[in-house]
Formats: sequence, C-alpha cells, structure tokens
Amino acid sequence: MKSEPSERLDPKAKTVWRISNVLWAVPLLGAGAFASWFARSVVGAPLLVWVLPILGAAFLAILSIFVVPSLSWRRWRYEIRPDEVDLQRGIFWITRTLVPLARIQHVDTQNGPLQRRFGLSTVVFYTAAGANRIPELSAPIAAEVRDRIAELTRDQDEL
Amino acid sequence: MNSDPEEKRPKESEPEEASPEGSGSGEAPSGGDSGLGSPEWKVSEPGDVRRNEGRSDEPRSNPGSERFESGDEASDGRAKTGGEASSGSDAGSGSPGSESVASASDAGGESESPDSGEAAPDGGVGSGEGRWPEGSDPEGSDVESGMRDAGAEYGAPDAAPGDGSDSDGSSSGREASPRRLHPSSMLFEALKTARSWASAAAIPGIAVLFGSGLSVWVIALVLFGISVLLVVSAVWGFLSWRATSYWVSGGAFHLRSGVLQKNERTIPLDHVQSVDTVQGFVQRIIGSVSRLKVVEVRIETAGGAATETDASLAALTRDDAASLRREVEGARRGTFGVEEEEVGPTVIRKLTTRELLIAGATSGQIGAAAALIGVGSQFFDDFIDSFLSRNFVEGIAASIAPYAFLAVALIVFAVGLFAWFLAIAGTVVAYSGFTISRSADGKYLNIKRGFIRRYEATIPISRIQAVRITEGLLRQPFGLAMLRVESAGYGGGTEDVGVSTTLFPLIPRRQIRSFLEETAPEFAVEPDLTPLPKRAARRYIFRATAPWIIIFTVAGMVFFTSGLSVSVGPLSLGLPGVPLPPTAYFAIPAAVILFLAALYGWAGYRAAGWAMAEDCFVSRSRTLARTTAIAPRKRLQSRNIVRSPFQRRVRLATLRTRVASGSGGATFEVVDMESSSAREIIERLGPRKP
Repeated sequence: MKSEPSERLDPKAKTVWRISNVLWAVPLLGAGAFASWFARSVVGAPLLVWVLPILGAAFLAILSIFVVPSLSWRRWRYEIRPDEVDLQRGIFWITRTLVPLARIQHVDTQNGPLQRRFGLSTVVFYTAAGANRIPELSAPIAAEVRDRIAELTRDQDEL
Repeated sequence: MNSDPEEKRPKESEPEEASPEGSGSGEAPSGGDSGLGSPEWKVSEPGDVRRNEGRSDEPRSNPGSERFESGDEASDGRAKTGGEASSGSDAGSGSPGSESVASASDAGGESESPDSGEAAPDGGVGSGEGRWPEGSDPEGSDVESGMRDAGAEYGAPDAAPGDGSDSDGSSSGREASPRRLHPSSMLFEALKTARSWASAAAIPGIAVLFGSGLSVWVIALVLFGISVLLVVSAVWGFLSWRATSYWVSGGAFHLRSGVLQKNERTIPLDHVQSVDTVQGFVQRIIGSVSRLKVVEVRIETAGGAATETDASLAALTRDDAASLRREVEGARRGTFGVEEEEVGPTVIRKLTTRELLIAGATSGQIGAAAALIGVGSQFFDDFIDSFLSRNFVEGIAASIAPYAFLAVALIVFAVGLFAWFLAIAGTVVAYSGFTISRSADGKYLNIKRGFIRRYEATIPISRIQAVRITEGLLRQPFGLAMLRVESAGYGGGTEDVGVSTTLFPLIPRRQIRSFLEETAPEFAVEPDLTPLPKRAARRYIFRATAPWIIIFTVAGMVFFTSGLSVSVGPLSLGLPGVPLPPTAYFAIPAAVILFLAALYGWAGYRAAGWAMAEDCFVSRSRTLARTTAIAPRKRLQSRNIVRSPFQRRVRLATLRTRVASGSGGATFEVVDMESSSAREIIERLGPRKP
C-alpha cells in the first residue's frame, strides 16, 4: 500500500470549514455561557466551578475554528487509482479507506450555499454498503473526479 | 393430473359478472371462449370435452370468479401447473411451445388469431395465465368484462403482449391475466378491519362500561356496536377482495388494490428479490379445520426497506402461490417446497426437537427474559399495592427478614429459572420445525420455521454477502454455534427485521464447514486464524476497564469526600467473622467490577483473530458471544484501516471491511492487529490486477 494518496483537497476547504465551524461555535458558546450563568446565579457555585462551562466552550470553539480545519486539511488526501478509490482522513484517528471502483454504483457532486460561494463541491460515491465522500474540491476538479470515477466504474465489472 | 375440471365448473358461476360475460360469449362462440377460458383444462385432453360441456351447462360464468373459486381446491392449482408442465405432451402439439400451442388452439377457436399468439405465452408461463383466457385476448371481449370493472384495464396489459404475439413462444410471456386472491382473503381483510376498529373502540368502550354500569341499554348499545362492526368489516372485506387483483405481465408484477382509493403497484420482475409465503396463525387454523390451505404471499424487492414488504397478498392457495412464484421467478419449475412432488428441493438440514430444546436452553436470551419479568413485576407491585393490604405484605416481609439472604437468593434463582423457561419457549416458537432446503436449480435456499406463525423465506444464494458464526457463551463450551447470513437487499421478512437471516440456529462447530459446502459453498472455508500480537492484550483490557475506572474515580471522590463512607458504618455482609471497614462498601464492588471488566477485555483479546482463507477474509471477535465472520474478497464493498495515536505508537491498527447487507451495510473488524499485516491484507483484499 502506498504511504499516502497523492491528491489534496482545495486549500479553500480550510476557510469553508472555519466558517462553518464558527456557525457551530456560536450556539456552543451560548450554551456554555448559559451553563455558567446558571451555575453562578442560580446554584451559587464557586468561581472555580462556574467558569468551567464557558471556558470549555471557548476552548472547543477556538480549537474547532483555528486548529481543526488546517489539521484536517493536511491529513485529507485522495487518489483515484485505476481500480480503486483511495482516501485518507482524520486528525486523531487516521482512517484509510479503499473502495474498489467495481463496487461503486453511482457518483454525485453536491455543493451547499457556503461551498458555492467558494466554488467548491463534494464528490459522493455510493456502494451497496453506504456512501463515501471527497469534500471540498474546486468545482471543476470535482466534476472531473466524478466523471473519472463514473468512467472507470463502467470499465470494471468484476474484482 | 389431479385437476378435476368438473369440480371447478360448478363453482365457477358468480353472479356478478355473469352478464357481461354472457355477452362476450355471445360474440364468440361459447366453445371458443371456453377454450380460452381454460387452457389448462384443455391440457388434459379429456378435460376439453368436459369443459365444453361444462360451458354449455353453465351460463358462461365469468372465468375470473371461477378461478378464484377453484382456488379452494388445492388440487386445482396443481392441475393447472401440471397442465403447463405437461401440456407439451398432453396437448399433443408436441412442440416445445406446446402449451402455448394448446392455448393458441383455444384462441383460434376463439377467432382472434393474434390473441391466440399471446395466449400462448401465457399458457407457457404460468399456470395462472393459462387459466385466464381473458387475459389472452386483448380486446378481452367477454373475458375482461367478466373481470368486473377493472377488467377493461387488465385488457391493456394483455394487449401489449398481444403485439408480441409473433414472439409468443420465446416471450416466456408473462402476460397477464389479472387474478384475484382466494376468497378467504375477505375473511382476513374483515378480521383486520374488525381488529383495528375494535382496538380503537375498546378502551373508550370499556371505560363507558365501567363508568356507567351495566344497564340494559348499555349492553344493547354495545351489542349494536359490535354487530355494526361485524357487518361493516364483512362488507369491507368483500369490497377489498373485489378490488384486489394481481397479475404478471410485461416483465412485471402488478398489484391492484384499494376500495376507495385505487392503487396499482408495478414491480419489475428483475427487482423481485424473493417471493415468500407465510402461513399465519389464522391461516393455519383454517388449514387445520378444513381442507383449505391458504398462505400469505409476500414479494420483496432489492431496493425496499428491510422492514416493509413490497407487495403482500393476503390469501392464495398454496398452488396459486406456487404458480405465482414460478412465474415471477422465471417459470422455473418446482423451485420450492410448495411443489414437492414435482422436482423437490433438497432438504439440507432439519432442526431436531432435541436441538431445538438445546438451542433454547443455551440461547442466552435469559437476560432479555429476565428484563421482561422485571417489567412484569412492576405491574405485580401495583397489583399488590391496590389489592393486598400493606400490613399483610409488611408482615410477610418482617417474618422472612431473618432469612433475607436466603430469600433473595431463592427469588433470584426462581426468576432466573423462569426466565430460562421463557427463553426456551421463545426459541421454540421462533425456530420450531426449522428446515433449510435448496431449490432444485441450486440457486436458492429456502427456510421454513416457526411454531405459531409459520414462516418461510427464500434467500438467493448469489445474494449472500457474508456468513456469521456466533458461538454464545453457553454454546461455545459445547462446541455449538448459530449461523447467520448477511444478504444484500433482502430483508428476510417480518421477524428477522433488517439485515441478517438465521441460516441455522444450532449446529456443532465441526459440521459448519460441510453445512456451508451444501448451502453457500463460497463461504465454506477452513480458516487458520492468526491471533493478535501480545501487546494488543493491554489495549483490550484497557479499553474494557477505562470507562469503569473513570466511573469509580468519580464515585470514589463522592463517596469519600461526602462523609458517606463514615455514615454507612461497617459492612457485615451478614456473614460471621470480622466486620469489614466502611471502605469495603466502595472497594468490593469496584474491585469485582474492574476484575470482570478486565476479564472481558482479556477474553476479547483471546477471541480476536483474522485469516485469509481461499479468497475469503475471516475475522473473529467477541462481545459476549464469539463471532466469526466470513466475507469473500469479491463481496467487500470497502475496506479501511484506522489508527489512533496510541495504536500508532505500538504499531497496531484496526482493519474494517464492509459488505452490503439489507439496504445498508455490515462491518466486520479486527481491532489492534499488527499494523504491517493490516496494510498487507487490505491490499490483498483489493481488486486483482488483470
């Protein structure tokens, strides 16, 4: 097995992930603030206790906005080999996935509003045992990857 | 064959459609009609004659009705099927397409030659069609009209084949003759309606009864309500029977149903995954008190959700079911048990009564059963509260207090025993009469089982994706296991919701290979498992104990800081000897649980292993039961390797493979195998370079 798949995601992926994580971080911070307020005013917990929720939320928010996207991007790699699709992802748990082209039933590209703003697309390919995705490719590359997979899939019937 | 045309005859007449038919017959010489009407009879030569006579005797009743009626007799269906089968010879046409020929001849009689062409294929295919001449003629003059209103539409599907008349013989022509369910389906439908209404009305009804007391008026009202319910259900049952019909045409199965809202469902035959027959409780009772053998038929497709049946026919005679199955499954003959006397399926293995009881006793469902008893005891508590005086109960409690330990032990034992019997009973109900057989063409497995509800399932062997061998805690010491299969897009039916189907409930481990050889040879391997490296053991034990360590750390902090440890006093356990310090309240359970958790982790490590055997990937793991999964390389949908930082440090990895199962997938994994082997194996499991 090759040490790593060759292709990377579009660098703009980091920005998209950051923005979408900001959207997640807001309610998280809100919840943390509420919990802290609750602990302080209603329960009357000491300082050391009531700061914990808000600090925790802030920590997670910072992590998910400033650290996770770039780590994740650095790990994410893919490669469309002649007979398989090879994916690698994961910050803590590194997952390497191999999907034979002969098993792929169909391929989609999808993009959400945020992705569209940045001209990115996600390639999703389906097997009988579920879907796999290559996120945040620039739209033309995504289309190319999709067509490539579709074409190779046609060629391969058996393993 | 056994067909007795005469018998059928008398039944045929149904009042409703008689008139239109009559007209139809008027157009075509009645003889012609009859020919159409009953190709199968035609098959048996003597039959022809009779049939003609029959015709004349009876006002040309609508064939449709007759057909249904005829359903009563188990024999008749067979007759027709036999008819087709043998028709070649019988018909004397002699040509391979003989059946079709026969029908063609009929058709000819009828006068519409093109029709006849179509007719032919029908006859060939399915018994059923042969029967319905109407189907054969596109115009469907008499016939369709015979088929009540819907008839006209039916005509259409038939018509299509009609064009195909040229290709008649080859077409294997599934064209259509809409068929109705067996009339007893009225009963089922009525029962269903009555039941749903009754259950909706039951609670308010009972409330009213108890609330207002039993006056004459109330009783009268209730009786009135019940009789209205019965009448309405009966009418509804009749209407829905009348509105329901099915046929196979143009390469698809069609089901029309719905009293108020008409519904027509079309399932392409290619998509049909299985045709299962189920004999429900009511059907069995009917079967036992009369000669009437009816079954429910379910047609499942590959795409359908596992839990939902794509098309269900409430009542067909066994023979109709068999012929439908044959049509749907491509005119194969004697595919399954239903037609044993023709080309029997091979019975591969039957669960003996002894095995059944052993399976129950070792099923490991005791936990579930005990939980059930626990829930039940809640009600029992309420019962005690409301009906027995508190004093009485407390008196009993006080009197047994000195023997509390013994009493608790006894109760636990009794509950355990009861749960065990429940578990056995559950197994008996589910697996009684478990029989697995292989169709004559070797392409399908057929499983029958069940005590109250007779369940029958068909698994296409080519769809089996993986086999799981499960050795329960109580079974492994005796070398026993249960076999399950994962199959793609096949729900298995109602009880085995989802993905996997029991292939056989109890089998000695050393017989598994030969059993698989006969059922699913692709999976018959003799794996030589590679155990995990020693350094994986620590990780297994750590994973099992870590959550408990966290829990006990927190609990210990609470216990020792809150002063609870002081207030509880020494622990005596009721045993003679030294009282233990209060810390024991915490330490003993913690130690026991941690020990058990570590043991669990160790057992998981010991059980885990993997192998490449022939072209299959074999992985073994243990939760409580030890499970061995066998998945051929060619069936793998995807594979992955996952490594956490801790695993990376000690060069271990988790290898996962996924196969299709039901409408989703199933995962088999080996946790903490040697990283280098994982990388090697994941490559070997890939597509072979040409």
